[in-house]
Amino acid sequence: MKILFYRYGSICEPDIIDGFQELGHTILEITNEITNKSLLPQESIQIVGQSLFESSYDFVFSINFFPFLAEVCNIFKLPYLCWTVDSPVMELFALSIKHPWNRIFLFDKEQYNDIAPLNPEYTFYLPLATNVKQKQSVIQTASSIHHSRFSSEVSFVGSLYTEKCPFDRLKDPPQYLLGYLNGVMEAQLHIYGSYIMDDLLSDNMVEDFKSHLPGFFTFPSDSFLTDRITMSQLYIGNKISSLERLRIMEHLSAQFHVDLYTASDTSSLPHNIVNKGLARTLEEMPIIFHNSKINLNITSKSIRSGIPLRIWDILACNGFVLTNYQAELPEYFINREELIYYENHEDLLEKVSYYLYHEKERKEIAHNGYEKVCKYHTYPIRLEQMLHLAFDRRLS
Amino acid sequence: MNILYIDWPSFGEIDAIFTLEQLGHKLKKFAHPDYQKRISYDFNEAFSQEIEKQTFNLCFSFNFYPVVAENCHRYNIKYLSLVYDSPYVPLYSYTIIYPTNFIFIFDKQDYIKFMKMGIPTIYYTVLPVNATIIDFLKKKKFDHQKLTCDISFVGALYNEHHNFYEKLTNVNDFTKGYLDAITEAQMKIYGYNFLEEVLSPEIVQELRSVCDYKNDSYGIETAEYIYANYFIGRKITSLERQRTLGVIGEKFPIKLFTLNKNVTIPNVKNMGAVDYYNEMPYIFANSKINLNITLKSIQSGIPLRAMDIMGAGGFLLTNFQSDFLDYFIPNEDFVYYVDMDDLLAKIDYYFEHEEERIKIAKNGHEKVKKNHSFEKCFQYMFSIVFS
Repeated sequence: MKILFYRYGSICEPDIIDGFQELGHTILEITNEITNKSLLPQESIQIVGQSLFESSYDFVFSINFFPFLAEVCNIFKLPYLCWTVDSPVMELFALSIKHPWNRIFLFDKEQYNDIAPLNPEYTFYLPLATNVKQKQSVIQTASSIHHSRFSSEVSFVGSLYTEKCPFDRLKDPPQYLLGYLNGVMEAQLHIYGSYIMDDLLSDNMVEDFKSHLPGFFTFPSDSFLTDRITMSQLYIGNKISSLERLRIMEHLSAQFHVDLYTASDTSSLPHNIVNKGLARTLEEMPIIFHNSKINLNITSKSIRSGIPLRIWDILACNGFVLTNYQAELPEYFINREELIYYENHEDLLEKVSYYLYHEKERKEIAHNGYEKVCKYHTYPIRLEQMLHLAFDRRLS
Repeated sequence: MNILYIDWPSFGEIDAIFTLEQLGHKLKKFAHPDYQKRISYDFNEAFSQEIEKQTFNLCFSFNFYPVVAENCHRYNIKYLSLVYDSPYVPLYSYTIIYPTNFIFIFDKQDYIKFMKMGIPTIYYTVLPVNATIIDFLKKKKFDHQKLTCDISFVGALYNEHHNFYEKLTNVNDFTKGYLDAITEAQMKIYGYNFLEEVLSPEIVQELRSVCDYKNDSYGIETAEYIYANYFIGRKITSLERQRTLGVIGEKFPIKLFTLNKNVTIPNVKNMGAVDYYNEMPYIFANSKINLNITLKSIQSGIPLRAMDIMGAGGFLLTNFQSDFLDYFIPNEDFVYYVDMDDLLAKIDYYFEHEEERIKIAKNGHEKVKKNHSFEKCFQYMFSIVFS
């Protein structure tokens, strides 16, 4: 098939392109937005429209969801396949989510539960996957200098959300509201495998919060987005993630040597945390995952049940994963055989300490996880499932 | 052997005394008004007099009393206690570490907590129940109209005036919001109590400024433990029980048996108080569904009420508590629910499936009769005390 791939710079795009090509499909990429973030929707529409006039495609594809692509495809009567790798994705609540030419693939069941009612026929749950070949070739061709440069006892690749925290714009909130928010966030920090925030906010609280948060996110046009979802998933979810990641880093660094690959400001953290800067996704991240004794995965709280990309990628690098519990993990991986869950911060410290000194077990677990993703969770396998769901469903 | 039986008006007294005597032991009852005090010279004096009269192999009490532990330690008498209350602050007394103590608690998670703290005198057992008395009771006349139910709930609502939580009314707005939030959050989570962990130092400081908890320096209980379990845990239980009963009441006929007969919950028939021995077993035996909503401070344990229900041959529908899974099979011996929707669906299902319901009640009854009698429980505890 011939696919028009609209890119915006998500780290998994190159891997997905590889995957489609491996299946024998032809890809044309539109990459303007990667370099020009201030591209207006109008300009994007023009670029995409032009491509569609110039050549014929079987479908348009993008990571996450672009309402303008849904509009364009609806006009051209061309399927638009999209796949989320993030949460929350506010664009999913656009009115154009309902278009019958959409094929919406969501990596998180909770996200699916939010969106599927809006377009039940064309919304699908599809977990993420990984590009084993690319990761392995980077690892095998890396120089020994690279290998030693990216070796860690414990590493974490990702944002600390310290700079991504719109919650902190909250201005002069009533003390009761502030206390309530602190209370629910503290409680949520202790609960793994279930995001209970949506149910804990009353309508009044949402109103109150909105009125004390300058620039509270609202959709530029009509949408299905509610202020409750925005408050719970965008503002509070991010804030909890940032609290959680900072706390974990503080706890861990008191006992262990931790390398952090992040663009976040880490100046407030203890000195034995080494901020090694942003890792380059294609060339460096696989080596980091491969060479870390322990790769931490701390899932962003707004990913409420799904498995984040980081886990799939670490496993593809034959890396050892120590992760928080996510409700969907048991559906794909066996705890203690293919990766390890931690249940709380105390447990995390105990497990880091145990696995740092049990190399054989660690390697065995990493290897089992690697075999699992090689066999069942590569992009070609997953994309085939996607295409089947998008096009062949009625035949089967 | 000779057993000094600490006599106070506890549940299970009749059964314990009967069982111990049946097992061939000689009991000497010892009652003293100061048994709940942590230190009492009067108690010590009376205890000494008793000990001088006769030799005892063992001292037994329901629940654990520091003043008894103190005296048993002094005279080197083994002190066996079976704790059915939770929360139970005397467990944090310094006296628990005396090697003369054999303290049995029914909450495994609590037991593990003590074990991790390095306390060697605390053990775990499921609470015992007299599961044969019901056969005798059934032959007697009882008030059918009062004690026959579709759904029954027997228990406190913890909403009396001057309750612990009301004492916190004057905390600042921030703390008020914080407490409301952790209360609502905890109500959504079954099987894991995080209240103690989420009470931050700032919040505890504010709580203390309004209603201080003073550790009397005879124990190691923290203010967090007291506020989480005695104040907030009860408040949550109160809300949870009222909301749960209310939600059920909207759809199904339900009777509430509780001390305060003036409480009203829409669509729930408040029957007032019942007698533990002479009425409660009839309710359990004559309800289609008996509800157990565990007090929040019980982390994983099987509460006495659940044992009472199965002991009377009643069908038990309970909130999830993980200790059940160690001794009972869900949907064979009892049924648990994980949230409100699940609860309603299960009530609906078991109303429709009478045969299954009766079978489950019967299995549960047989199992407690076989494994959790007072006799079995004492034999188990003795095997540890005298091993």
